[in-house]
Amino acid sequence: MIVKIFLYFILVFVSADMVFASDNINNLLNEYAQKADLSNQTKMESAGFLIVYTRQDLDKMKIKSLKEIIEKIPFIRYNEDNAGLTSPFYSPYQPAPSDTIRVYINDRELVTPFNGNALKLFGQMSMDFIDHIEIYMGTPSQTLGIQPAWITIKCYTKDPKREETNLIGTSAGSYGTKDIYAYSAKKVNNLSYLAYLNNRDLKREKIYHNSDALSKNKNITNFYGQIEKNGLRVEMQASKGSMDNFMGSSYNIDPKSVYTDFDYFYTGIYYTNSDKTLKAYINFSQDNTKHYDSSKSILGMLALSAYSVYTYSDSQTSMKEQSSDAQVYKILKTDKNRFTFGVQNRYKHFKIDNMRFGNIYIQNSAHYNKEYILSLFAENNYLINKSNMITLSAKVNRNIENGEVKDYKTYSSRIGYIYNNKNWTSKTFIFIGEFVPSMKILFTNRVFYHQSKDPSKDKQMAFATKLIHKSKNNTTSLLYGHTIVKDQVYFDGLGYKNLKDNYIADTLSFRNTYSFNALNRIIFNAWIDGTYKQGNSFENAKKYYGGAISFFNTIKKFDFYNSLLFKHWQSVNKDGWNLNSTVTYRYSRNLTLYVKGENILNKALKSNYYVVNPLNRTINYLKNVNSIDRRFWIGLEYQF
Amino acid sequence: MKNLLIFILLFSNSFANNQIAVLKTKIIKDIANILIKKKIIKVYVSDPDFYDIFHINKHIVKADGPTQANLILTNNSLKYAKLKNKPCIISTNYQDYKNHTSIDIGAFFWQKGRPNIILNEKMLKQKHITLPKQYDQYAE
Repeated sequence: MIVKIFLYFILVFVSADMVFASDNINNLLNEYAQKADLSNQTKMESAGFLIVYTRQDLDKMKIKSLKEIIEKIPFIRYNEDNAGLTSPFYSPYQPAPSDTIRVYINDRELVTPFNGNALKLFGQMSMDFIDHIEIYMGTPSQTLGIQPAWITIKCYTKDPKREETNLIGTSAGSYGTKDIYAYSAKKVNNLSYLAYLNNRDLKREKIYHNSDALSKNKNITNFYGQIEKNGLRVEMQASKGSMDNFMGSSYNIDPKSVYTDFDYFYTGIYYTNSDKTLKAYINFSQDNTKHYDSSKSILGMLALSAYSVYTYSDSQTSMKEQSSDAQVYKILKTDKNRFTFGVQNRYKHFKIDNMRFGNIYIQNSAHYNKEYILSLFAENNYLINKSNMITLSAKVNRNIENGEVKDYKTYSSRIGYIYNNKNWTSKTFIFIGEFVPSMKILFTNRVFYHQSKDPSKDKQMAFATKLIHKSKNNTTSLLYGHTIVKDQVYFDGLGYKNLKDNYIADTLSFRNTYSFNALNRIIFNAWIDGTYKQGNSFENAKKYYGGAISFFNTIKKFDFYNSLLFKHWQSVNKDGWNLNSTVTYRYSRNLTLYVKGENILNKALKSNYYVVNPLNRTINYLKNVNSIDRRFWIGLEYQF
Repeated sequence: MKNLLIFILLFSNSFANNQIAVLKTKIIKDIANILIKKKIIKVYVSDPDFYDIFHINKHIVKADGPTQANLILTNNSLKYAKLKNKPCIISTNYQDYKNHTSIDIGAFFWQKGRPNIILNEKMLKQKHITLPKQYDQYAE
């Protein structure tokens, strides 16, 4: 059935490309839009293995949130934790690694100090102020942020000079979802501004466990603003929302009321000189969260002594988090060499105002609530001749933790070689690096599990190479990666420890892009990832594999986006097939209408959850839950 | 030149910028060919975003000043409204075009992240210019 549907798509769109081959001026305009895409100014080819979603792509896809992009990244899946929040590497009771994905908006990393990255907060938020997205995979460059990550998602905001509009958009989706947004973006003399406001009342599919309905609904209002003049840019973001937290923490998966209310504020000042060889910024963000969890039966228990436990059916935590980043970054260029160096620091602080479990209030006994990271980095790209380049980079980070938690010092370095001739390009990198556990791990390990020893940093070594063949309309690439992870942090039921065994991840990815013209292209990719204990062979690996075929088409006044993703996941019984489609009709230059379907077949990869009830030693399961709801949208945008 | 693409991307944006300039020039030449029945078109540019269109196509040459031009690309149309040589004025800013539809014969500008063309039907009629069919969708 799925294959038939896709054969139909291929037939319709390939033949449409031939029938409706665009006329000359239209083609020229679209080619101009493609070549002048802002990603051509921001992407860093030497920073890693890159996937770009251009403005034209995002317009055709009508992306609603970051989760749609995460789902398309090879080697990972989109997943949500027991609170219904974005957590691609969620595994019950195991720590979500903070070094896997980091998300940036322009130069700012989205950080929430306690959890590490801020995907939980921003994963399902609106994206209408984003122009294009760059995804850097594997062997992280030392120039990409303060804390390294295996996948770096860089979202760039719309450029007021390219927008010159006031726009209002609204859409309605399945389950009663409503979304409204407006933005104004213009350049007036030397000053440009972007102001964006959105409210999304996101209704999610209700999940039932026994007779209990579990909700992942979210209502978020989000403002983003920026003003730029003469290389100086001021950014601001403010969000406020309420999120239903799905299963919560109840032992028997019978939540009564479980939600998080939050507000978030961010501001930053960014400076870039005219030839873009000097960059500096300072920013600050703060969020306040109030989490309430209650269940019909038991929610949890606390050990009061070796012989007695206290059980409770509700809990409440109020937390204030603050973070601040500062960076100075200089590039020295000659004909054959580019040397980049800089200093950066990050301050993270959280304060728990209220942590109540039933009638018992827990104090921060470790007196741990601050992390200060000082980081020095340098990268050198040297062009040996017209076909060969080497890149070397290194970074040293000093993490100063307060309270009883130990400090960390991490080193990372990367060497790379890039070869290029008329049709062939190859990129090869070797990376050695260290990653520090998140503040959440360090805190809970001390306060909840009363451990006196902090987990060590984990160490990773990776080799990755990519071969690319380019011709006029076709680009084909093959990527292979081999990563060794040592001292990986895990939860053993009593606290966080480091694994004694080393683990290996082998990854292979194939990608082909065929462009009929500037308006129409097909992308196919397939990948496999195997993880196994060092000493074992790949045959014994936990294997994950997947693939996708995506069509981006324009026929007259219609834009089409269709994609089918396949994923096989070791821990999920059924393979996932995720069909997405968007049809956009440009009625006039001012009015655009669209319909969009996500997970149309309702066969996207499901998620499985379980909760251990230690009192009666039972395990409660919740299986086959949609992390990506089957959802249809209808929407319009009007500019004036 | 082509095999240097990746390195040039690494070290500067000059190659990409050159490709953009070539495309911009092609679009301007296509429009100019409809509006102006001359083999060599003298263009005066007052918008810095279009300074790079010269020395790419031998039929598009830089005018010494607005009074020498057949075509003016500007984001401030009013300034060139009363020129005696009556050049075709194409605005590079949508708001500027909207405010001066009695001056501008067309507009070539970015809006909502896309490059746009508008050809002013009223002015085209006044100048007795008939658009080729493929340009119908740009007439407003």
